[in-house]
Amino acid sequence: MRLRPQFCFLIGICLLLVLSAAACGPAADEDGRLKIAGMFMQEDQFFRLVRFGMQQAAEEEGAELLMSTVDGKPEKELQLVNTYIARQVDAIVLSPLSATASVTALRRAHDAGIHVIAYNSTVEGGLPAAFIESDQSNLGSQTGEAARTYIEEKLDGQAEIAILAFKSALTEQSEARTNGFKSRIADLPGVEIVAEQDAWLPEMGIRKAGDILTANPGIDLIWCANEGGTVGAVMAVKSAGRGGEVAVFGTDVSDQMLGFLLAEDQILQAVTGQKPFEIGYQAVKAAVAVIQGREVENHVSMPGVLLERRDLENVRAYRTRLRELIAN
Amino acid sequence: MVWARSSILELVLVALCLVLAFQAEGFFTVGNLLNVLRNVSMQGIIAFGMTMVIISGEIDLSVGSAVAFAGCVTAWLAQWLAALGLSMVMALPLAMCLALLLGMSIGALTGLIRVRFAVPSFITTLAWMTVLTGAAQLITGGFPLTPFPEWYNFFGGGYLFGVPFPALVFLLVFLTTHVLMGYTSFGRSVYAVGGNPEAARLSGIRVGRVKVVVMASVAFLAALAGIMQSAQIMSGSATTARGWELNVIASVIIGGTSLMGGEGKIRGTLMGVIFLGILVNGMTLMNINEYWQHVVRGALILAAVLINRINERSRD
Repeated sequence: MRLRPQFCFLIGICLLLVLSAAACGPAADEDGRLKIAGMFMQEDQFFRLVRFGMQQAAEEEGAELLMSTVDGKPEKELQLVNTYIARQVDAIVLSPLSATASVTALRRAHDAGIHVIAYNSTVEGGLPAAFIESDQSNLGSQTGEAARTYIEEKLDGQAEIAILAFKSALTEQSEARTNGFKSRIADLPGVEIVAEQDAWLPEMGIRKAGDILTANPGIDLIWCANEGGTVGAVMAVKSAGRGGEVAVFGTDVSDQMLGFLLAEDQILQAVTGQKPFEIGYQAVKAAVAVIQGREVENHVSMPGVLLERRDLENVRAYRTRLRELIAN
Repeated sequence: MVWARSSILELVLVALCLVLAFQAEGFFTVGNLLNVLRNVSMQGIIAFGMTMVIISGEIDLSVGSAVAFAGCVTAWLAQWLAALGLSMVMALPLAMCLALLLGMSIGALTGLIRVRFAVPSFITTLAWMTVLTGAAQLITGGFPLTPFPEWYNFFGGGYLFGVPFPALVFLLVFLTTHVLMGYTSFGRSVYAVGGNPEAARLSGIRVGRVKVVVMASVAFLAALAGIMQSAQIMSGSATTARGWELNVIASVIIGGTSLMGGEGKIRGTLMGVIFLGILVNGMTLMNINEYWQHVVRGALILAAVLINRINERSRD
């Protein structure tokens, strides 16, 4: 019984935390407004911008938007979908973790009369009323085209290339981007891919790219399939003092990467970014349309946006827009 | 053969190096070996602290999140202090110190909770893991923060006397913890506390204080690694260092430290860290398929632990 005062104190703290969290949460439902649940696979820049797009669309449509993050955990996805079924939302807008495993819960939602809209990733069986995604292959091929120009103009068509992807994390996306990139350089006779590894976080990228540069001193160009890999590769080239000799081409856009494109060290040459804001915006718009019984396009595949060192004006303009979005 | 038995991991390491020297192009070059050292340094720094924690009979699962948190706090504080009108030369060192202090306090708090309320550190640090990840996301708003000036990169990517700066810190932390655990009364009390807390208490060791100091140390080292990590990638990012706690614990265990507490060596952890680092480096140099790398790494971790165990049994 010695612990009793402390125990009461702890319980008090817990209650306080729960109550204050509840107070921060949304108030009781307002009647008459459409209720849409927006789910995010994880907390990162991409899904953050998707969220902003969803919020804007929901505001325009006067719909109530309930938002939650799955954190990459299948069981949490299942619980959240069940919660939204119980709350009787009108539509669930999500990026399912698995094409197969996520189906069961979504089927239950569908049977309960809830419309399912998928973005970024989808499930098998045609359950979602609409699917909005980035054209993954295009994300690789646009940068591939830029790399091809670079190889032909600056390297006389001769290049040793290393690839950093994320196939042990998200196989399909990674392969689609990688194949898109390869498709644009494969027919150049002087091009050889000497290393192909996984690195999707900056610290992984630094290590892998550092190791690859040591193993293959003749490398001319590194292409990376996502943001983390690109940042890591740029920092590795910089750290090895090989700026100007080894060029990096990347995928995705962040403020840091735009800074690399603008930097004078000549390392990062071009990236192809997704349009997460537009994806979120269109996903919620599609949800509203489906709820109201209007026709929607079943599958929207958005091309990426290419940002290059050759066109710095465009890079600066894009950076201003991105910063405005983040600041809001 | 007594020597061979006590140094079995070193022998395996030498064998691995020999194989790689012949198989992996560019492995046995100064540049590459420095690469390995730099690659292992961040996780290695934490591993030395983790060795002390595990020897004392505790565990810290929050080190990965603590790394991300420290990087984000440094970036956020630097940004905030700079906005107040402080120059970066002032703001950044101040932010770094505060991040270290904050990290250490969190570790000390874990220790206090362990001692005062008898909550296992496994549970407390599991809670910290999600709290710190969430806090890092809160202060960054989900976007990597990039307020760092060019010179900050030195702490993660710079060289001093031709050696990567993080590698120097790694060696310094190794020497400090090695001496601390092997040659001081504090070190002996850590072993005693982990081996038999009751006996330690009866022989006059302040068990609680030892545990608090040890938990604070590993948290401090995690914050230090976090700062160097943010300097290496030049941003404070909440998604960095995810899952590091498992790599760190793996290298401690490979190094022969017992998860039951009371037994282990800092030198063993050094071997464990380098073993894992060389393995990853070698497979990258050889351009081995990523899927295989995961399988090989896991299998070799298991093999190393088994070798240690069998070795221990035959010694008993």
